[in-house]
Amino acid sequence: MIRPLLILFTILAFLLSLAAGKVWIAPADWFANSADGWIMAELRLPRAILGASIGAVLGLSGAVLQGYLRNPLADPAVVGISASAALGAVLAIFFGFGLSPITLFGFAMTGAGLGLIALIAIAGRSGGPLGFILGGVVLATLSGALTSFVISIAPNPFATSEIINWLMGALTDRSMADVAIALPFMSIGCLILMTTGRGLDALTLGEDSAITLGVDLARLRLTVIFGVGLCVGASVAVSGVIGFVGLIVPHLLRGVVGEKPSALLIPSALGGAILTLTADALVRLTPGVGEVRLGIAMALIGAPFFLWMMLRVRGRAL
Amino acid sequence: MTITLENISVRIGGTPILSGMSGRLQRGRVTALIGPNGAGKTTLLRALLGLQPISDGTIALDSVIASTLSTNERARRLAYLPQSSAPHWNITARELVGLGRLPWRGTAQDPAVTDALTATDTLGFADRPINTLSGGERARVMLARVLAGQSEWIFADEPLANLDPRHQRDVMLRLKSAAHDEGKGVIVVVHELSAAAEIADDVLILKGGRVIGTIFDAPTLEAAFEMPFDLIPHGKGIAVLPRAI
Repeated sequence: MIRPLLILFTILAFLLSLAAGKVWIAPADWFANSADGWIMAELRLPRAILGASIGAVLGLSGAVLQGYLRNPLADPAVVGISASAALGAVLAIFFGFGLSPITLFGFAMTGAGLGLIALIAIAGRSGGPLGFILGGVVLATLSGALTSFVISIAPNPFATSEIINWLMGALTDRSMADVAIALPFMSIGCLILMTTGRGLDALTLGEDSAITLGVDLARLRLTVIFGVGLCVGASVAVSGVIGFVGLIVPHLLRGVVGEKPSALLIPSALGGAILTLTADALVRLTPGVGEVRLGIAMALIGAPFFLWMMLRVRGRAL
Repeated sequence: MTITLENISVRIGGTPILSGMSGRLQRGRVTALIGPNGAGKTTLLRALLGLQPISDGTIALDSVIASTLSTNERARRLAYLPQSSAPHWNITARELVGLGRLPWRGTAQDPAVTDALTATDTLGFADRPINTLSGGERARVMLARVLAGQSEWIFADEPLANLDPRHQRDVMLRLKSAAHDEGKGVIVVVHELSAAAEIADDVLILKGGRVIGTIFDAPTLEAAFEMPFDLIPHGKGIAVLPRAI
């Protein structure tokens, strides 16, 4: 089956992410009491753990949202939580708290939480996927405008550049402290999302049929909003906005594991981890002094892929 | 063993769709809902399934008020075959039939799934993706999904639409056997009047949100559809023909 293979690739991508970089570190030196050992423990390991977990939650969130909205073009960004979490983080940098991971995370999670409350107020009680998408668009637009506003009134060019840099999304120089604060939120979000499989499967037949199969749609909607909110909020809080993982991964895997929504959840989490770890290892290998930001690399791969997918979906509809 | 409707009314956005409808549906029998477009057939079906809130009256399942049942309890007892629509994902026929086991927390591996596939003669293509099946094959898979739920009642909305005569017959016979051999209550909306005459033990003829008759005869049909019909003995049943004016 495909699952053992995905697990194997996840492990390989994790090991690659540990070894690869401006300095290649062979496995023999991973635990050495040297500069290599220090790079491994302080930089590479937290970065690999975050790459794996952020990729996994983005892949899983994408699979759940595509199943819930019954639309292969859905992406965690559509719910607007990433934008509101980003606004929180930008405010933290604006007020000069950008250097403390915990404060930055706290601001971003507060942004995500307020976004969550707004989304539930707009779309949580009633309305189908349409209310959900409209709520997400309102939230994303509003948060985006406020983010731009904060950038425009930034006190100095350094703050502006710091904010813009952060918004691009990256896993550079993250520490175990980042891992320790983000991981609990992402784990709880994942556990919540894993309970949605049955409801998502039933929705394959439409909302009326799902209800007559015993699914409480209002509860399913809240579960999806909460789970995605925790996962995406925590991932944005620690890494900035990394797009397209949640869009591409479930779509690619649908061809391999079939289209049944519940069967896609775990493979999408694994696939997201593989993609993010590999992409993050590759950006470290780009020649030059700096590195391409992970968010940019992902968008460069993602945008043409998105176009190709749209054309294919449209071709099928005709 | 019965569903009792007492004086139920449904208003949607202020417009009355069903007005003061009463009646009794029995298990072990096929009840056909007949009437012109807009008569309220689908709304009645949705009200019985709890999908459409009723503004007035009561629906009782045996002696329990239907709205007090939990979503899952209702799902185990009442199954719904909606008007033909394509599933949103291209899953296999077996996976689709397996969805019928959701109220029982079951899977596509349940014996009930294979039984339902066998009963609808769809086992042969159980592992093919649903988009590769013909309309007739897909309709039978959808019926299998409903049978796999092993519910007490089946509510089918125009299950014969878009099927060729042979497949219409297959679906009709399967629904009839679900009622007569398995003791389910089968409520079916049909526009094919000859098929309704053949399959139904009871009929409810609807018009303008009311039941205007429970007897399948020419005057009631004429009142419902505002056009004359001829009922002609034909084989074991009757053929219902619209009369040229």
